[in-house]
Amino acid sequence: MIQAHTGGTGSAALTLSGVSLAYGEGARRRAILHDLSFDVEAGEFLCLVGPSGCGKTTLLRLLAGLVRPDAGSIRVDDAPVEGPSRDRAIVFQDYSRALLPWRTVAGNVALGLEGPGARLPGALREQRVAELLETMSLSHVARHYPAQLSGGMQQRVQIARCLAQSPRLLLLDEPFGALDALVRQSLQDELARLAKVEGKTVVFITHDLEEAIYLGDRVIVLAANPGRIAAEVQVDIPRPRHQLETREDARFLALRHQLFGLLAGH
Amino acid sequence: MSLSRTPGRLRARLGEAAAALAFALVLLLLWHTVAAARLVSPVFLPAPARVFDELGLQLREGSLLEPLSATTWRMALGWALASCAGVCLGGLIGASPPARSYLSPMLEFMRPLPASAIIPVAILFFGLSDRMSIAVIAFGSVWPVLLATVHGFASVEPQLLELASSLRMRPGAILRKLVLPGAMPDIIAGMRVSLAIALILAVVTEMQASQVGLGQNILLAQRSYRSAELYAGILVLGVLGFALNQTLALAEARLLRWRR
Repeated sequence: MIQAHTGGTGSAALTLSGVSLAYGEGARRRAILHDLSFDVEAGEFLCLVGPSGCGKTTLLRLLAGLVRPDAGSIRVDDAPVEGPSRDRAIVFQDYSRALLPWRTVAGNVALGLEGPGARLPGALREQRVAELLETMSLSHVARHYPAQLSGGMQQRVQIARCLAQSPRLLLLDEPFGALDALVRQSLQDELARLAKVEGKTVVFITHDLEEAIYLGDRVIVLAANPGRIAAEVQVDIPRPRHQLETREDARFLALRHQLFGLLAGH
Repeated sequence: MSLSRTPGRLRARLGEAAAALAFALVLLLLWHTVAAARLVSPVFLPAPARVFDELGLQLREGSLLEPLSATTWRMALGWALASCAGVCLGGLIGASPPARSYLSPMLEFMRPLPASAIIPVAILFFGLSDRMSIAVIAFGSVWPVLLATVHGFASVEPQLLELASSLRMRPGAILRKLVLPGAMPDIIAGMRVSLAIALILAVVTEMQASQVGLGQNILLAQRSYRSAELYAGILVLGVLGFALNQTLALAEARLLRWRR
């Protein structure tokens, strides 16, 4: 069920403790992330916001299991992250390079249902793909190729593919950053609704503070060089939220004022 | 988006085709004028009408069939071998950065080597046989498809590989679903270049090794001053090359229709 305040169920779906990562060799070794610790509750929508260079994307790749930390531990449902898993789907920022250009929209969504650990037998896949296309309002372009779609539609395809994976954790890396304002708003609302309806735990990365507050049950602000936690706030604005009213809500504005300085200061 | 051919596009394409045809007719007319005015001796340059008569005769008698099919068969076999070997080897090399850095200099050395230079070597090994021809064709035409495949395999979108690992795709599935389709535009482009080389080498090896084929026909016609036959042979080779390339272009448009 949707909880009005935290949005989570109280148990940690994801735990980071003392996570650090550095790139480079010898004297040129540079810390990217330093001593990061936080929990994400099951069903929670957590937004990570930070200036460029704060290691946001690296952090998401760590959560996905695509990179390993130098120090500290990442646990998902109390099991250490050893590598990528179908339980953690990642929505890449650059949708144009995250879809298979030679597959149709339906084919790209079906990719999330293929492979080892895919839970559906062949006959049910088509049905599931059709459902997901319906959910993401893509049915009418099911047979189109990605190059024939707008950026917003391509990002919908990517989200549909991630949902097809039936992950428990949805990781999004500035998914709407390259989209125009109207498309971004409608995708924000759809994502927020979907995450709650499907009970997904979401980690959403953005450099847009307003987007973070608007979407998140909680917002963590990262500081750069090296990436570390600068602030953490609970967003006590009930859902469903609205593009106009929520953004004019006193609580929204207060959070925006409180966090704005942290981001501008870097 | 061109989901349906619009009348405007169709008209534009018809216009282009008409212009191309008109250009060919102008060349033909020029040829006819030069020949009719006897600017060049008919022993060297027969009138186009004589060439077409000769072609018609060969078609009616069926004497064109054997050399045409012999040349096409050798070329196709050599090209198919080259394509298979090129894609397999190119894939192995392209997928492995160390292999790429070790082997690239050697490939760059072999690639510009004129394939006709290895004809004597091939004759040494295989004699004046079909196997010699096919070996030379395969060796000579393997390079474009090989190097294109190396490039295609090496330039897989890294983000797609991350996607594959987050979906826990197995290596075989990654090859089949990501790498091979991603490299397909390069592979097909390489195969088209290879096909042109294969046709050239089919003709050259026939001339060198006196094998039945269009190349040998041309050579024999030239030696006995049967100029209409000579030009008919060249015309057939031109049509053959054109038809093969068009077929591949069609296959390309079909296989790569996702590229718009």
